[in-house]
Amino acid sequence: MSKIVVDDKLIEHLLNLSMLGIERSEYDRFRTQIQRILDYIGMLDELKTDDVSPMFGGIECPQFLRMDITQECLARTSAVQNAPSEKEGLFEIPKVIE
Amino acid sequence: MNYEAVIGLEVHAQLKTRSKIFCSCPNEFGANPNTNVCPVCLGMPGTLPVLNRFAVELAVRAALALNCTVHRESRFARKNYFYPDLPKGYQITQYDRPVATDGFVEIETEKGLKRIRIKRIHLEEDAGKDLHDISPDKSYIDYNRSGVPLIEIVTEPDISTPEEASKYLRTLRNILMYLDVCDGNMEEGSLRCDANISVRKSGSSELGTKTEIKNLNSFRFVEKALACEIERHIGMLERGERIEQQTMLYDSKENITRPMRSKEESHDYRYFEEPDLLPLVLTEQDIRTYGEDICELPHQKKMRYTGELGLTPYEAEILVQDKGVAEFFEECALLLKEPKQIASWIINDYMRELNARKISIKQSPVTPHKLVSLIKQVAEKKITLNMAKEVFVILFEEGGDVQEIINRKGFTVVNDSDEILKNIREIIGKHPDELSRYKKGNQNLIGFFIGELMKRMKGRIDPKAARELVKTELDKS
Repeated sequence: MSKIVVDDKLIEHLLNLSMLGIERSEYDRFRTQIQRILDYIGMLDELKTDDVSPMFGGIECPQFLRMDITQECLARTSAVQNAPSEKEGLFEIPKVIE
Repeated sequence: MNYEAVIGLEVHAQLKTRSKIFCSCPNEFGANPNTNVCPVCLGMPGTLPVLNRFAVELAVRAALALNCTVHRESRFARKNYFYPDLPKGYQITQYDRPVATDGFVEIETEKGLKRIRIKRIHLEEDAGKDLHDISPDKSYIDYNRSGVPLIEIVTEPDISTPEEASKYLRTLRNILMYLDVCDGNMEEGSLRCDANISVRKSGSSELGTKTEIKNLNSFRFVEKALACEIERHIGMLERGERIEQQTMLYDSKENITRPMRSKEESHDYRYFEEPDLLPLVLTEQDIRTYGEDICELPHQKKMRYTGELGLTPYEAEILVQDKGVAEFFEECALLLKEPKQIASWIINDYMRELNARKISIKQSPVTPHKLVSLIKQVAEKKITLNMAKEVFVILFEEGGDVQEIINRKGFTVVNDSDEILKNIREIIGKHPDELSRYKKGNQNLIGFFIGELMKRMKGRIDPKAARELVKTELDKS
């Protein structure tokens, strides 16, 4: 893989995807950190993997399937107790559409 | 310039399981908000998903009925995006190794059967529900739907018109309902549709830029939204404008499509293997077993009805549109070998009463036995068709027994032709003017004589027999 360059555009894209906001003045600090992470992971690109078949996970055995049986749920008061705000058992959040 | 549309549909169907796909919360519509939730479907840290066997079975059943190849091994992936209805920040779905691929559905078009290829079917979890209408400055979330099992059925871009899209959707919905895989309730969101569409010059093999229309939740909206979008694309191409690849929403009030706000979409899902789930492995035996519950499908029934039972394609089509109706018809046809008459009763009388009462055939008080017994009474000339129709309405309104209602209403048919003839002669004798006008060629007056006869005999006579007898007597007079 070619080396990824962390420019302002990429930082803005990442902020957008992760719904985070940081000050423009902090871009440089994050640029350096993200670049360092990518360079570190990028070491993997140096390995020759042409003859290695793709691996999807560490454990190659089939997954366990659960019977279609219902069980008791959380009490509604417990379900919403960590919500910053709730109303009549609903999670209350800032408006997400205009 | 002529243009043609190239359309592909993605249909999400909620599976009729008891519990959710990765946890044991009930899969039910309409419960109080946030009562069918647990740490797994609320995405709390440290929880792990455990796949529901029956969800897999239903997915395989649908895949086999839709002529797909079911894969012995498939895998789950994480589709990452931030939106409040997705508590984990990712949706567990299948990506490059779906449970089934390469199937097809055949739809009826004006030009005959058309095959719509199915590219893939994959299993995934539904997201929670955002509620935006409660307050002007807040949104609310109900996670009851979070983790409800879905299959996504993706077609190849084989659909050419809005009508074909709607026909495909109807056909697919009916198949899924026959299979008991999905309840097909589009109002409740059990079946939802997104459409990919592009437009190109007729005959061109190059694809135009496509747009996606999301959340088309009725057959009518699918047709109208696609028609709008095709018109928009053609307009832009005619003006030499470039079509932007984007996600659209259909505004049914204004009948237009408009781009989704960027906040609501994200093109970069960063799919990767779901590390919390091992590969889903199915044996040949599993696949065979899951396929055993595939019933006779609507198009197969239709062929049998028109072939073996001699119904018209129109009659067959109406009967197979609802599995309950088809089963009712078949039960009747086992009791009485008169499929045409039974079909006619169901299509004309039965469906009218069902529609008027907004109930399904399963909720109806008129059983196959009762309907057949009524049809038999007419066939054996014990009551007239008009009497039977009256009895039928009473059966619907009050219930009861066919013979008992006939007795109570005093419905009988006079089959004694001497008695009928006696009455006819008396009527003719009393109306010499009408007779002479009839003789001079006013054939319509036969209706007058039949009317008089019916009045006299209180409708207790078969109208067809009455007509024949009246005509013979008039011509003799």
